[in-house]
Parts: sequence; structure tokens; C-alpha cells
Amino acid sequence: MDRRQTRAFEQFCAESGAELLRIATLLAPDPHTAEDVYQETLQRLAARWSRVDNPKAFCRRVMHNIVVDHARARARRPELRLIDTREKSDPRSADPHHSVELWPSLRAALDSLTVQQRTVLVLRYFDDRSESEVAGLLGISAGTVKSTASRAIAHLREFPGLAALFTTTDSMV
Amino acid sequence: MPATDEDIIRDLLHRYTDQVRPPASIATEVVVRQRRQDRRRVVSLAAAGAAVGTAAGVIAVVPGHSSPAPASRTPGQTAPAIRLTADQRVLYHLSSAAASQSQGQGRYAVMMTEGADVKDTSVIDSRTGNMWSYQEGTEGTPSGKSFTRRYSPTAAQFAAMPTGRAALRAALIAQWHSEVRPQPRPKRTKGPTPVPRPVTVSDNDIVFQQASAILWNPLVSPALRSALYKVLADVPGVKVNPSARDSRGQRAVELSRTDTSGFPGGKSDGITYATYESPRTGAVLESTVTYPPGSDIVTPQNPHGNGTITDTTVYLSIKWANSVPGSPYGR
Repeated sequence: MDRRQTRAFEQFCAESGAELLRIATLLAPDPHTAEDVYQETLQRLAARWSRVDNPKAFCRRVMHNIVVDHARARARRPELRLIDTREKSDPRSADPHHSVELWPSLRAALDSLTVQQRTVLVLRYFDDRSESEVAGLLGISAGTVKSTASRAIAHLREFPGLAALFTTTDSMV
Repeated sequence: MPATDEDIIRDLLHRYTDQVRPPASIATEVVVRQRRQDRRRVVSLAAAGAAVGTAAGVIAVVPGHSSPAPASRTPGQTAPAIRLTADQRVLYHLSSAAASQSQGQGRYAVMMTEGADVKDTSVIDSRTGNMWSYQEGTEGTPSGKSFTRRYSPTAAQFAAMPTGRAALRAALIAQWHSEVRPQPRPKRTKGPTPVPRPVTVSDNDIVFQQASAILWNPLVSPALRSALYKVLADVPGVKVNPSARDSRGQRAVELSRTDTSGFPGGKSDGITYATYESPRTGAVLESTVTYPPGSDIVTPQNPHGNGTITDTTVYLSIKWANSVPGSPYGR
């Protein structure tokens, strides 16, 4: 990576880093893992920087792959989950407009989805990707994206702690 | 008020993450780490191939090469006396120390290193050159792992490199040119493409950089490491400090050299490369690259890139294994 490439890479990180970490936060089981996923994604991007035409798309695909790898590793070797002390100092806690009591439920609900459901949900409704874009990123059909998103939303609608948030009609999925 | 289930999900996901900000140190650490890896990876597979070609005698003339290069002579002719300088004697001593070591046994070299803010354990496959890297981060720098295909030449490719001084010097120069000459194609999405400016790098700069980029590699054979020290003994501008200490206080021989070129027109870029070698084994204990002010190098300690930066890698240990070990850092 020469100086010009380094500057371009750092500019990309400055412009897109927050968005990428937010996606990682939604995909990963905890904030520590999210930062690991984010860093590993950037590391892979840096290694291929001169050959990547669309860094954002590359990062989304890589993040998905890393999260899948982590999920497989956890399935093979379940680990003890420590209490995340960061939650206590979460800046959201000080914001009265945020329903912080929802976050543990949302986190648990996301954890209860399959990796594919979770990824589709995040890419479709957080990243605002179209069904065909998500299909392209994940290497699945647009129909699978649609059905996966539908099942994920149905699951969240029924999840304890979140169910009351949802309307009971007009689902557009 | 969100109207549909999708809107509710969208709203929840955005609100849940709207305060998430990445520490700037992560991107900086990635850049520092990548630069360190790039530097260590100077010798590519294609370059190793070039070296083999050179070994066969493709390049016989060594421009800028000074004594004590061996002169050709007829059988029975007495070898001319070679007078070594004090610095060259130190380098020849390192060469002997390296030659007396045995090659590590096992398929995988497990090398622990330490940088400014991270510890790394690199596992290099001696047969394929693939590398697994585990990183133990510090506060603000997460732990992580990565896998790089064909990170290093294989042990067999290193073994095929020439060990004669002239041939090895020529091979190092050929390697550098085969690595650097292909320019990456400009990206379409990153604004106007700057006009490339020709950069001139002298052969002696190339040889020192290439040699120091190979010496650390555990896949390098004792014979090649020994030959590299002899090649360095012939490079003008190499400073030798036989009574140095590395950053851990160990006795070391410090070899350093400041580039005499690197900028367009052949002007020096002022970058100083240094390696600290064990006088007992010839192994690399530590390497540093010092960038002068204004070289645009950004690190956590120099966020604006306007100070003198020394990028240090300390080589803590090298072990050998027959399978890829997991992360020693527990994650």
C-alpha cells in the first residue's frame, strides 16, 4: 500500500467506517465481536485495496462471510458469554429519547435469528439494499431474500419484549 | 410513527446503532499493520521465480558492486588478499553465526512479534507460503485474525535462491523490479487519478531493503541468511553498530541505512531501515523503519503524519509445528 493508496483507504474508513461498524454491530452477537468483525473486514480490504472496485460492497460481503465463520466456530465450540460491561456505559443510556429497555430484547431477538435471516434483515432494512442487491451480495436468489426477510420479521413480531411494538396489519413483505 | 412492520424494523435498527462510532485507531492500526505486512512481503512468489532465473546466470554483471566481490581466476592462481573493513568483519561474523544454525523442523513456522500496540502471532506454511495471523489488540485496537494466501515464498523457493554474493545481489534487484514495476490500475470510484511521477530507486537502496525484508523470514535457510549478510557487507552506506541493544535490552548488532533515493529524480526520501541481529545466531531480533517528518505516515502516535515515525517490529520467538495452532490470545 503506497502513500496515495493509504490516503484513499483512510478516507474511505473516515467516510464509511461508522456505517460499516453499525452493520457489524447488528450482525455480530456482541460489541466486542462487532469491532473484531469490523477490523478484520478492513484488514481484508486493505490487503486487496488496489484490486477492489467497490469497497462498500466488498466489505458487506466480507462481513457476512466473517459472521458466518464466527457462527460456525461458536456452534462447534460454544463459549461462555461474559456480561458485557460496555452496555452500562453505552451512550444511548443517557438519551431519554431512546427506549434503552428495548435493546436487550432487540439484541436477543437478533441473536435468535439464523445468520442468513439476520444478514438479510440488516442489509434490507438497515442498509436499504434492494432484494436483488442483497441476493447478489449473498449469492442467493431474490425470492429467497424475500422469503427470508418475511420469516425474520414474523419471528421478531412474536419475540417477547418486541411484540407490542408491531402493528398487526399491513405487513408489506 | 412507523407504519409497517418493515418501518418498525428499520427504525429499531437505526436507533439501536445511531451512536455507534468506530475508534479511529482501528483504521490506523489496519494501515500500520498492512504496511508492515507489505514490507515483510516484498519478496513475492513471482520474485522468487525471478531469483531462480538469476541464479542460473541470467544476470552476471553487478552494477555498483564493490570489493570484496570474488574476481574470476584460473585454477591454481593464488587468491588475492581481501582486506575487510571493521564493519564488514562484523557482517561476516553474523554470516558465520547464521550459517552454523540449523533449519527449523516442522511444516509451520509460528512466529510471535510485537509492534507498537499489538502482538501478532504469524503461522507461515513452509510448503505453500500461506499465513494465518492472530493479533492481540490493546485498548482501542481489537484482537483479530487474518489469512493471507501465498504471503511468503515457500521454503523450497528460498532454498532455490542463489547464495553467491554477486548472484544474490542481482537476484534481489531483479526481485524488486518484478515486484514494483507493475502499477495497480487506477480505481474508477476514487475521484481524479493523479498523474504518476517516476520514482528512481538506487540499486544499493533496493538491495538493503530487499535483504532486510527477507532476513526476518523463518523459512529462509541458514545458507541464504548467511549469504545475505555477505551481500550487505558490500552495500555502501550501511552503518554497523556491533554493541547495540534491541528494545528489550538484548545484545545486538544494529545494521541501518538511510535511503539515498526514493523520490522522483533520485532524491532521498530520508527513510531509514534498521535491523537488530543476534550476534550469537544471526537471527533478526527487531526491525525498525524510521520515516522523516512530512512523509505522510499516520500512526496512533502521529495522527497528522507530520512527525518522525519509527515503526518497530520485535521478533519475540519462532517455533515450529506440524499443524496450524489456534490463537494464543484466547479469541
